[in-house]
Amino acid sequence: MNAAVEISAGRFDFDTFFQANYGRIAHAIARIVGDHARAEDLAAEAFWKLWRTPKAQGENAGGWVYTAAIRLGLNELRGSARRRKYEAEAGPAIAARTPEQERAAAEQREHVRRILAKLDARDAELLLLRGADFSYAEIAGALDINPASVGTLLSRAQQAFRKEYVRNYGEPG
Amino acid sequence: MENRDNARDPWVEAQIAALDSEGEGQWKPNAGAALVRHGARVRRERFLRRSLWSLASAAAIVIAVLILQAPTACATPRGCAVHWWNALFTISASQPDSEIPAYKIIGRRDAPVTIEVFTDYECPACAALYRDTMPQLMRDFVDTGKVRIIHRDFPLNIHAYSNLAARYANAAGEAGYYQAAVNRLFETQAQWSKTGDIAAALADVVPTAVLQSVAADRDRTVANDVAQGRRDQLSQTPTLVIVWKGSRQPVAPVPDYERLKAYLNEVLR
Repeated sequence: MNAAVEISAGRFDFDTFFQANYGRIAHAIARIVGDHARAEDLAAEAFWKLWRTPKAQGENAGGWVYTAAIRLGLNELRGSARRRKYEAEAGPAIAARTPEQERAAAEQREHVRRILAKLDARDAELLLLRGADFSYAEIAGALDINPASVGTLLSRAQQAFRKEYVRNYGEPG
Repeated sequence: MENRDNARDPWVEAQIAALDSEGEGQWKPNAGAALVRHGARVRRERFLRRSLWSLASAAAIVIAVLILQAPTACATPRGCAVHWWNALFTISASQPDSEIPAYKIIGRRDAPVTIEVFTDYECPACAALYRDTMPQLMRDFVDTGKVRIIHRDFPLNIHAYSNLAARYANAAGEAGYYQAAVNRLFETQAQWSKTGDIAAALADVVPTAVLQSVAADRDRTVANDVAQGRRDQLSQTPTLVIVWKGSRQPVAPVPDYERLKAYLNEVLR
């Protein structure tokens, strides 16, 4: 994980950190909520939380704000109103795909989001942090869990995801 | 520890990774605009915090001043001050005679002026009022039918035993010994206010059976008097509330008798 953390002589430069990481955080949230405008709002909220938490403004600020962003995204995803909105909206088109392929891909992304919303919060966070290429040590630090347990917990989270997916949509093809 | 393969389910990872493909290349979050909005939010937050601190500081100063001004003892010759919070949110109103025990009313029902005397049995100035002023007032105005007196209890919470003393006096009043009990309580104030032994102070003017009934007595009279005093916005004891032609005029501190007499003569003219 390439978090751009700006710390000079022990002093945290919030503005520089914000500029360097905002796009990455907004993209991480957009993956979860599937709404770019909302992702930017939630990214700003994640940085606001960081600004109000001085003890988080240090070497691990990147992981801290990423985890906060994922939690905000998952909370958003769990909102029934938002889910209804996603059901009514198709994702933006990608030119390289046929309309039918894009429809199937959008439907699959929607299935994944629904499963993430149904999972235990920590399982969903583990999967998303792993998906963002966080190392085990970074995941342990971000979620405040024992580093030696990350592999086991991640495996369980993947099993939970698969089980929930099969229960809702059948065996993947 | 970094052995990721142990926990790997390629299909699940592919599903999570597929979320990345949603129009990512066409969208660039505007960090500059977001930082400007964040800065504005920070300024609002700081302004709000400063405002709240200022308000909290001002409120703390006001409360401290009010607490420091609240009386902790009552030894002034002019009277005992009411705690500031007892004087808040009060509305003046008169209470019908039917709600006042008959033993508290002295004088003719049709007297043109009524004086409601609000006292606290532990208040030295109240004792002085009963010792020096009331006898003259009774002689010149009550006995002549010009004024009637209503005794009102207004025990202050700075005094430990004044509420209990009022209940003793009212129990004595129900049995026909009110004036004797009131006079004795004020005369012996210095003794029972130290020990709380009010029954001993009243032992030779009120029958023992009456004194023994006080402990179980639930006296609403005191509460009614206090409620009336709050409606009159009393600031201290003793206070005389002059009731004349439907209006209520609190007088405190109580002036010396000659001034009170001149005032009453003016009202009655």
